[in-house]
Amino acid sequence: MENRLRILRAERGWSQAELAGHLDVSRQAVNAIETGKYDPSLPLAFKIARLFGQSIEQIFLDGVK
Amino acid sequence: MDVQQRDGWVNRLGPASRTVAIIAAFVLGLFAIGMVAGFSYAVIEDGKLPTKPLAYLIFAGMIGLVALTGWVLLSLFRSIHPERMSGFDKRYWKMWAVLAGLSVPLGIDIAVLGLNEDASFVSMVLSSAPIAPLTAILGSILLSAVLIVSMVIYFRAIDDHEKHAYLWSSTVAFHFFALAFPLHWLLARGGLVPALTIGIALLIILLSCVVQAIVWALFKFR
Repeated sequence: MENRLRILRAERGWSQAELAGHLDVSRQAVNAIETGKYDPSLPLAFKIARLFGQSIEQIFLDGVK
Repeated sequence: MDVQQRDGWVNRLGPASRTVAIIAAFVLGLFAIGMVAGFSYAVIEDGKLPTKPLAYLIFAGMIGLVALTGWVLLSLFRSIHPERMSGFDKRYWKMWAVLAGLSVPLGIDIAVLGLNEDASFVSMVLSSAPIAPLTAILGSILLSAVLIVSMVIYFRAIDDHEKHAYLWSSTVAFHFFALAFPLHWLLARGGLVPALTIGIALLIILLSCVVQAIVWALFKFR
């Protein structure tokens, strides 16, 4: 699933490790989500959405118009 | 020479290479400690020293391997800076330290339990030689307890992504096992491979664990 995580992280000037620290996950988890190799669980998606002050749909794009 | 210069090779490793190096060092270290323990145990049991020079050469090699893995692990752990680690990373590395503390003595214990006359590593791990009933009961309780406690500690410390990696790798490993076992049984009935023994069964389980480790690493670090 595509997402805007890399863009949102870049806007804040955070490294993957810093974002991982905010989300209490590993750096590998952030990298896997950013590259679309792993779709986060619903609780983690909510955590990401809360951290960036956006809705889940604004961050994760399911490709359906 | 300061620590930074001395352990320069550690700083050139990426996170994935570091993890692989730590796991490899643990496995090699465990193997070497098991060999040293087995050799010492066999000498104590026999009450006489081996006559072949090769035995001493292997023993010295194993001592060297223990020292080498100790140095590798020390260098790797010295390169970790707790003040720069996130809360998650601290919990994660503590978890691995606890798991190593639980499983390494258990591995040595099982290797020593499997000792027999030739005391080679393969015979130690795959030995089916009789042991005392009480030793068997204690060993079984210890193995079950460590495995269950390890699983609880591991699952409490990992994140969603690693859970995903673990569950997929477990599924693939189970299917490997579920295929390898009946395949061997069929081929053995056709006289193409040796009949199934407990040693071969343990080898299939070991291969399943290797498959799980490979798939886990692929999902975790790809």
